[in-house]
Amino acid sequence: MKHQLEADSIQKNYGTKELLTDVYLKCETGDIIGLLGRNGSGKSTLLKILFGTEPALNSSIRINGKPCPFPYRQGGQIAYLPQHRFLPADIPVRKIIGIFIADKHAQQSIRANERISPHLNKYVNELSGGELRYLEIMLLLNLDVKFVLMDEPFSGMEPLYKERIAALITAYRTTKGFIITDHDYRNIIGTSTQLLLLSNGVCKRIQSLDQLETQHYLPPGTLAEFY
Amino acid sequence: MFLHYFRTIQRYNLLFSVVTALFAYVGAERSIQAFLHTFWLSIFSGGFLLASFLYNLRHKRQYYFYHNRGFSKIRLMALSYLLLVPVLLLYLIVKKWIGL
Repeated sequence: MKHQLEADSIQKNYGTKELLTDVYLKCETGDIIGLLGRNGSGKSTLLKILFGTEPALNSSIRINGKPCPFPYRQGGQIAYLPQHRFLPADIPVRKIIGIFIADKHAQQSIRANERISPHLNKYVNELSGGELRYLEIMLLLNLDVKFVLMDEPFSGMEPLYKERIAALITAYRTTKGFIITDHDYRNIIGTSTQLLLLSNGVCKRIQSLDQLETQHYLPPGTLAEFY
Repeated sequence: MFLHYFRTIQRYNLLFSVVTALFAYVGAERSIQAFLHTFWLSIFSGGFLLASFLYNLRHKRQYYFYHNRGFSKIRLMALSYLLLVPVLLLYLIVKKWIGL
């Protein structure tokens, strides 16, 4: 079944600064939307508004056509990977999986994962940045939700992990819609089914990669490697 | 999932409430009644508020662990508070039973 997350008229101010002026965004099951933008353009804020934890001056969020001002509170709709670590440090990985994932089959599959199984008895503080990020992503992907928002999933990852995460996201798009933001534009471009550039408070759809240079997101000549 | 939050927040609450109750115990000429009365009062008021404040201070980022399962901050706090009521009832029953 195809689900749809639609948000429009998103406005957000920080003091007198207008961060988001009028954002429109639509994500359906199967979409992997790569959200690009320069530092401070409001990417993380936009994801939090979509998740429902960041208040906005104005926002209209709908899931399958139904208004949903705080999507996360409904449960089973949306998941969010924040930039920072969010797993509790006082219980081992094995227990985190048991608490966070309700489905027993999904729990077993995560525990059996070759990159997670060696760390089951460790605490998250004992994991490397890459190992922890991989665990967080695996947990979110195994939640029974329709949409997953990811803020910098490739950050601090070694190339092999990045490849693996890109493959995981692609594999899970059969049942979920994704909105991903990261400064690692290569992986975002490689993984996404559509690209959006957040600039001057609005989301612009990127039809051709050249636009990333003409819109001053990338320096001229950067995209030569993609052709 | 919620019980993990409950345990963490009540750890702070318990610590603060025991310390407060000890002060009351000493101040009221070692009265066990004063200890228990202050302890429960703190558990349901200052101790709980301070525990929520400390959790926010020390584990703010961890809220996303619960948000991803549909729990808002208000819901977590309300459930944690409500779950204290059966504990208090249990205490009152035991208190009456042993004739304290």
